[in-house]
Amino acid sequence: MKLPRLFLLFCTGTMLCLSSGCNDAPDSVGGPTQPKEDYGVIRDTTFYATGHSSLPNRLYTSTIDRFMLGKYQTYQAWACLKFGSWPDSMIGATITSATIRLKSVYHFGESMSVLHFDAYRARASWAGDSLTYDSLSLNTVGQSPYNYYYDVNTKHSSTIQAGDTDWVTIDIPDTSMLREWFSTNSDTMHLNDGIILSPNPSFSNVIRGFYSYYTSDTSYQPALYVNYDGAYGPNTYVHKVSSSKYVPTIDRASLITDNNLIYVQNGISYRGLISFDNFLTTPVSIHRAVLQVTLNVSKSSPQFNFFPTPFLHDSLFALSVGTDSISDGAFSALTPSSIDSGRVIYSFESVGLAKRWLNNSSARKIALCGYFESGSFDLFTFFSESAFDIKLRPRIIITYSIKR
Amino acid sequence: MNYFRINVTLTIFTVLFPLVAHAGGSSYSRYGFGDILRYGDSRIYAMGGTGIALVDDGSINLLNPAGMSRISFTRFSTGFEYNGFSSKDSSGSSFYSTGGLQSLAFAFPISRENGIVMSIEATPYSKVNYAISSSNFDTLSGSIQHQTFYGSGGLSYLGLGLSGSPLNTLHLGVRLNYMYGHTRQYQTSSFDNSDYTSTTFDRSIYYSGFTFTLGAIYEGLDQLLDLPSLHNLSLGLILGTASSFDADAERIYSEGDTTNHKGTADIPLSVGLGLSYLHQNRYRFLGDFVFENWGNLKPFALDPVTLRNSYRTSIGFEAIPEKGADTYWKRIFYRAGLAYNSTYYQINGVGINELLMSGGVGLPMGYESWLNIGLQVGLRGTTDNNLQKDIIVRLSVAVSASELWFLKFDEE
Repeated sequence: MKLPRLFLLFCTGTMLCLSSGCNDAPDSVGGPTQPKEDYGVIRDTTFYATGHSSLPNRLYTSTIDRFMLGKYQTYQAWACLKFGSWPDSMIGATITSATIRLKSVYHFGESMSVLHFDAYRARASWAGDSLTYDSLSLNTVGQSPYNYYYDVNTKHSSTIQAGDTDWVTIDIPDTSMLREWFSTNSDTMHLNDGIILSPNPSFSNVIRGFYSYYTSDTSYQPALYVNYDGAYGPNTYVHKVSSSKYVPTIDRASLITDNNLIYVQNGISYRGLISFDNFLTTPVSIHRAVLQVTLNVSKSSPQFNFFPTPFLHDSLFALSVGTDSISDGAFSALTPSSIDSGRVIYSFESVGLAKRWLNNSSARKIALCGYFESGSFDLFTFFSESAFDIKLRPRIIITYSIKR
Repeated sequence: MNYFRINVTLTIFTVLFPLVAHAGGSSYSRYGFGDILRYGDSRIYAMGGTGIALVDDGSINLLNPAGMSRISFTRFSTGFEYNGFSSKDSSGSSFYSTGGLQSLAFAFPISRENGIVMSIEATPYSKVNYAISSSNFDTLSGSIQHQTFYGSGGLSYLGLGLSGSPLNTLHLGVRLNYMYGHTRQYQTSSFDNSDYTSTTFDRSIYYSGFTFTLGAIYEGLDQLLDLPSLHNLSLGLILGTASSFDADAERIYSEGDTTNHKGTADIPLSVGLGLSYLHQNRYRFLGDFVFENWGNLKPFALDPVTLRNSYRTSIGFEAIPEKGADTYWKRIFYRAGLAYNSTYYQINGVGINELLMSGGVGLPMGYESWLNIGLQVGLRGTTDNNLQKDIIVRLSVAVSASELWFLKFDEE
């Protein structure tokens, strides 16, 4: 029975040889025999917005490269500044005077206007981003022993007049406060919560931005210059370890003057929220989705005529939101403006968002916010679904194919 | 036990089973349930798939359950098939190949006197296998759209059969078939324009249902018609019942969307008629005709396609070795066949026909056991009307053995 064994080997070898030549890569042969429905039909459909609103949003200012101080029209920005982490060598030093040096980076309002402000000693922790303008201006807080954010009795008024790249100096006349700051590193009594800077609403017509500790250029960081009597005579200690934030506000009525428009206000912040109740209802393969909004130039930052260009950053984010209309972090798209037939439009590549809408992963809404939402007071105003000219209305253009 | 034989069998399938993953085949299999396989057994395979009237001890007749009634020892059969498709159309030519298990069947005689034999089998019923690419200019994106289409899957059935012989000349059989499986179409789409994202679409339809195969073989035509010359002529008949299967379609989009639809898919009535004539106990001649009523069905509500009635005619021949042959070569079976298949495919208004030639040998591997090798070469389709022509090469290697194969006899 040796022959069958040889045959078995022969057959096995033959199968291996034949199968090893298999070609898996698809090619064009057979294409015309496929059902036309398999190829799908590519279509595009435009869905127009069905609703909108402009909603305030929490602004994150404690970890950005700048903080703001000042007032312009109904815009206001209060600043909080603290120098912490004292060196042991300075604890108990005899301080004679001190100044704060800040580097200007931005302004909103009248550039030559003198910024009048008051400085107060802070008496409550304001770390993080939960502090609101209302809480700070009311100056009530449930923290013992002071129950207020700042001590009104420590008020020190000052002014700043500077260009956008100038250094400014703020005197700190209260050396007793500084001595307390430098008295300990274990601050359980709110000895060092820094200072609160409040613009004087009667005189200021500008909001100024200053570099914070988080600037990439460390030479621009806020610096506290402390003059003290050292063992070998007068000396100056320069301290840069700081934290800062600003707390803005605006009178809503003065911002949202037309309910038919969508407002995106940086620096406060207000975000535009656009709803699309009408959308694809059956599963499709989405190839492209472009969300377009049209700027109302006359109601946006160009109305202020402050900048050589209308905006500090002429870019916007489109963000997916949950049912609570708050960004869910699942999708974002950034785009600058472009001109189309004389209209300033922002076109967001939004295929990821459209896919989420299609499978109901996100609410069929989109939030618009500025690219540098915390770093400027740019105002973008858009036409809404109520615009008379349909070309001005927010829309999303979906390119898709239907599969059988 | 002859462990060598067991080891050989295991070796073959260990080596060959991994090859079943190779993709590619004829794009015609996109339609319906795909290519209907009509596997009757490795012996029948080499005779052009002809064997409705074949009743014999040397194989398990998977075409006609009545054909099992002469099985006298527990028998099993299994095999591996290589498929090569060389396809040509107006865009060029291509070659795809694939391999896979043909069938696994066991038959157990219960009463030899009454021809009562039970069988259990797992057999592929249809096969979908294609891979196609297409590039076309899309006016909307203003760029070339590239698409690929992959098809895979197919139906199989688990069969539980029973045969019996109420008369010496009449054999009856019935088989319950649980049919199951799924067909899958997977598509990708991309554009030269990077603004447009690539997408995928994955559709599977899962089928399950029952059919019956009823069979009869009558060997008494000479007595019935009083024509002694018809001795050794047998007449076979099979009837495959129509059925409506459960069909669940699942569509998965690259967006993550999954949709499911429930429906039905129909299997048509199948009728087959066969003749077998054994000449001088050395030469067997067979002929079959099978008709299936696909054209009057709406079998694919979930995937509407146009099908037509199919019929298949085939003839087969087998040279049987002399009893007591003294050399190995004289104990080999030689087989040949020819089949014409008017398939159920109808594309662009054109019916797709197939012509197959086959041949093979049955190599003795021991008592009542054979290694059956079969080759089928065929042509299918036409390049007219933008269609494609396939040259089909199929090679089957299968074992058909009785329980005696595992017994070791002393050499005389």
